[in-house]
Amino acid sequence: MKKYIESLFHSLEQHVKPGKKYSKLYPLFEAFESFALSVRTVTQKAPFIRDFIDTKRYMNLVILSMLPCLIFGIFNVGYQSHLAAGLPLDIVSIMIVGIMRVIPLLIISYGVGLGWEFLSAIIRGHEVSEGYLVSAMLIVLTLPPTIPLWQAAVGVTFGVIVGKEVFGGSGRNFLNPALTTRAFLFFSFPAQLSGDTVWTYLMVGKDQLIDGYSGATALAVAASATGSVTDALVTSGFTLAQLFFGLVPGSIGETSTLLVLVGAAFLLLTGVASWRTMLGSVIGLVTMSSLLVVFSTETTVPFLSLPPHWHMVMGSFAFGTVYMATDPVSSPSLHASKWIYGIMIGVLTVIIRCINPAYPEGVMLAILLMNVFAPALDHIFLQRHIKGRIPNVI
Amino acid sequence: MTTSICKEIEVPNHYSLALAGIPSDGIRDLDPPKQCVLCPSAIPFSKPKLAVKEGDAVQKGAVLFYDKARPTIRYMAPVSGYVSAIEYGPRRVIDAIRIDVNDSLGVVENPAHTEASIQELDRDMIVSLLETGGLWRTLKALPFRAIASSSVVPPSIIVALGDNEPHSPSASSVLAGRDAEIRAGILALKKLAPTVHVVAHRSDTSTQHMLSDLITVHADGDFPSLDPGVILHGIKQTSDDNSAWYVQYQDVIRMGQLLLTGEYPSEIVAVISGPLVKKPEHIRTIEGVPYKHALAQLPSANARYLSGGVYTGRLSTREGSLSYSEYAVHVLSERYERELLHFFMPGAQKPSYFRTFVSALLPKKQSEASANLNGGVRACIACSACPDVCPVGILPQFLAKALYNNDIEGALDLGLLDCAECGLCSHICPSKIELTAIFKEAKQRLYKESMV
Repeated sequence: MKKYIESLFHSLEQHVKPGKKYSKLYPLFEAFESFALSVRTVTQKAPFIRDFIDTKRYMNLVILSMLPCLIFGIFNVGYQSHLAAGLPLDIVSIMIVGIMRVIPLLIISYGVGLGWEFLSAIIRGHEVSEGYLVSAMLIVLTLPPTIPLWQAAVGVTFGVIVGKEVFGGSGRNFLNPALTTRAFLFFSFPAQLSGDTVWTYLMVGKDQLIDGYSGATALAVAASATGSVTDALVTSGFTLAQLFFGLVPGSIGETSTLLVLVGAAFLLLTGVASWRTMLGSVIGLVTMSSLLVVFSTETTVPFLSLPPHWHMVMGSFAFGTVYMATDPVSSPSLHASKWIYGIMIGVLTVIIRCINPAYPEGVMLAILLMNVFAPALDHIFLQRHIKGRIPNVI
Repeated sequence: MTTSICKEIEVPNHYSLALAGIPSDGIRDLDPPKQCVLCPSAIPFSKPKLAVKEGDAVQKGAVLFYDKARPTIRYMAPVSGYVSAIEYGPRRVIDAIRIDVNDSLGVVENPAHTEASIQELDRDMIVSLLETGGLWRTLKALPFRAIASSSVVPPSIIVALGDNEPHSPSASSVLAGRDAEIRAGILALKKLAPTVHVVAHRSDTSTQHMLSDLITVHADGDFPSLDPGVILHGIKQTSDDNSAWYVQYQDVIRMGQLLLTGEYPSEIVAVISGPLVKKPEHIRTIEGVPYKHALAQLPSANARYLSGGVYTGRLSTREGSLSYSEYAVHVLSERYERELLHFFMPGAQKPSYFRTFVSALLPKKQSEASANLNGGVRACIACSACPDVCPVGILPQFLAKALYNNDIEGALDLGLLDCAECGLCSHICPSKIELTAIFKEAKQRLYKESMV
C-alpha cells in the first residue's frame, strides 16, 4: 500500500517539478503528498535535528478535540428535529436525520473552502496551510442547522478570501476566519441566522411543528424575560443541567458545555491551546456578570440579574472560549496580552448579551473585536519587554 | 566545593532532549593519522590568505594561512608534512588543505615559559605570543562571535569549563591531568581583560573540586547553559558588558600548553557520536584528523556528517575532518523512508517538546536523532512556543518578523545581538521556520556593516 502510494506520488511529481508543464500545480501536489506521506526533506542549516511536531500534527489535534462536539451535534440536530415534529425519539432515525443535515454542510465547508485555499496557493505559489482544516469544522459547528447550503458556501468563500487570503494566507490573518464566516452570514442573512425558527431542522414537507414548540434558544428567552430570568428559563425548559449537557436548540456543535469541556481538557493536556486565554475569558465573564448582578435592580432589564454560572452554560460562550478565542494566529502572542485578551472577551460577551438588545449572543462579536485589538495588546507588552532588556546595540 | 563568592546563574528556559549516543567516559588514543585536513572555508567572517602552496613542506606550528584583513590572525599546521592538495569550492573559497604527515621535518619552536614567567609578561607580550603561536584565533568576541581584535580591551573574558551540547567531550575527562595547562591559560587570559569569568556547571563536581579557586560562576540547567552568550546574559549588569570575549576551555588548555612548552598544541580530545556511529566514545587525536581515520567504519549512504554538536555544528561530508577547534563529530541518519498518514499516528516513538504525541505520557527515553525536517515549511502560526525555550529571553517570533520587515532597529531592540545561536527555537518550531539561521544571517550582515 505504502509502496504504491509512494510510487504514485513519485510519478506525479515528474509533471509538477519546477520547469515542467504543470509546475504551477506544485502547491496542490505538495498538499496531498505531505498529507499522505511524511516528508523526505532534510535540514540544511543548524540546528541539524528537528522536533517531530509539525503544523499538521498541531491542527490535527484541534480537529480531534472537536469530534465529540461534532458527533453530539449530529445527534442533537436529529433529536431537536424529532422533538419538534413529535416523532419517536429512537437513536437510529435521529442520527440519520442529523447525518443527512450535517454531512452535506461539512462537504460544502471543506470542499468550497479548500477549493479557494488551493486556488490562492496556486496563484501565489505558496504551500497550502493546514489551518483551514480546523476552520472548516469550526464553521459547520457554529452554524444553525437550518442554514441553506448555498449560504454556507457564500459564507465560506467570504471567510477564506476576505478573512484570510487577502492578508497573505494562514498565519497572516488578523481575524479568525471561521468567525469571519459566521459574522458575514449573521449580518448578510439575518433571517437565516437569527430568530427562534432557525435552530431546529425540519425535514421539508414531511414534518410539522407540534403545538407549543417554540424553538427559541435560552439566550432569546433570557433576553425577553420579564420578572425572574432564571424562572423564565426553567419554565421554557432550560434547566442548568439541560444547558450543561446540551440537549437544547442551538448551533450545530456548540450546545453541549460538557463536551466542549472534554475538548478543552484535551487541548490543554496536549498543550495546543492557551490556558491563559481560556481562564482569562472565564474570569472576565464571571466578573462582569457578577457586577451586573450586583447593580441590577427592579427597574433594570431582568437579564442583568442572571448569575455567572448560567452565563457559562448558555449560548456558545464555552465553545467560543475554547475553540475560537484560542486560535493562535488571531490571538495575541505574549503571555500577558493573552490574559487581557481573554478577560476582555469574557467581559464583552456579557456586555453584548445583557446590555445590547440587538444581539442575543455576544461571544462572536467579542472575539472578533478582541482579534482586532490583539496586535495592539502585543505592541504594548512588547514595549515593556524591550524596556526590561539590557540594551545590546551597535 | 562551592565558594561563597561564586555567582549562580540559571538558564530559565531549559529544554532537554535526551539524545541517544552518550559517549563512554574513557578516552581512546587514536593512532596518528597519515593525513591532516584543514577547512579554511569553515571559519566564519574570514577571508583566508594562503601562506603555502601545493607541494610545500611545512613544520608543525608553521603558518598555513592567515586572515587577509587581519594578518596577525594565523592558522597553523597541526602536523609536519607536505601540502599534498589545496581544494577550492565555489567562488574560489578554500575548502580543504591536505597535509601528508612527515614527522622528520621538525617543529616550529616558540619561547617556553613557566607559570611564574607568564605572571611577569605584560598584555602586549601575551598578545604577540598567542598571535605567533597561532592561537589568537580561539579568542572570540561577542556578540558577533568573530575573532577578537587585540587592540580592544574587552570588559571580560568568559571561559566555560565544559560544553553541554549533545554530545560534547566531558569536561572532567578533558581536564583530567591538565591542571597546570588550564591554570597557565587562564593566567594569560587575565592579562588580556580586567575580568575573567570562569564558569563551571553545577553538576560537574570533579571540575569544581579541581579548580575551585578559579571558578567564579556556577551555571545550572541543560544545554545551552554553558554557552558564553547565555552565561553573559545571566551575569551582565550593563550594556558595557555586551562585548565580552570567550574561549572554549579546550583552547584555554592549549594556550597553556603553547606558553609552557613553546610548541603548537595540536592534540585534541574529541567525541565521536550519532546514531550511525557504532560505539560513541572520546578520542585523543590531532587537529585536522579526517573522519575516515577517526571512525572505525564510515557509514555510507544517507549519512549526515557534522563537525561539532547537533545544534551548533557545521555541515560536513564523508570526506571531511575535524578542523580548527572542533571537538566533536556526529553522524546522523537522513531518514528518507516515509510514513503513511504520519500525523494521525499516536507517536509513542516520537519524542517532542510539545505534548502532542503519546510519547509525552511515557517515561522519557533517549531518542535517536535524524536530520529529517519532520514536516513541511509553513507560515508562523504564532504557537508562541519559541520564547519558552529561548535561553536569553528573546521573543524569536517577533524578532523574526522584525527582520522579515527589514526593521533592524526593532530587531536590535528585541535583542538580536543577545541571540546565543543555540538553535533551540528552530528545533521546536512546528512551522519549520529557520529562526536561528535568520538571526545568524542578520548578525553577519550587521557585522559586515559595522566593519566598514
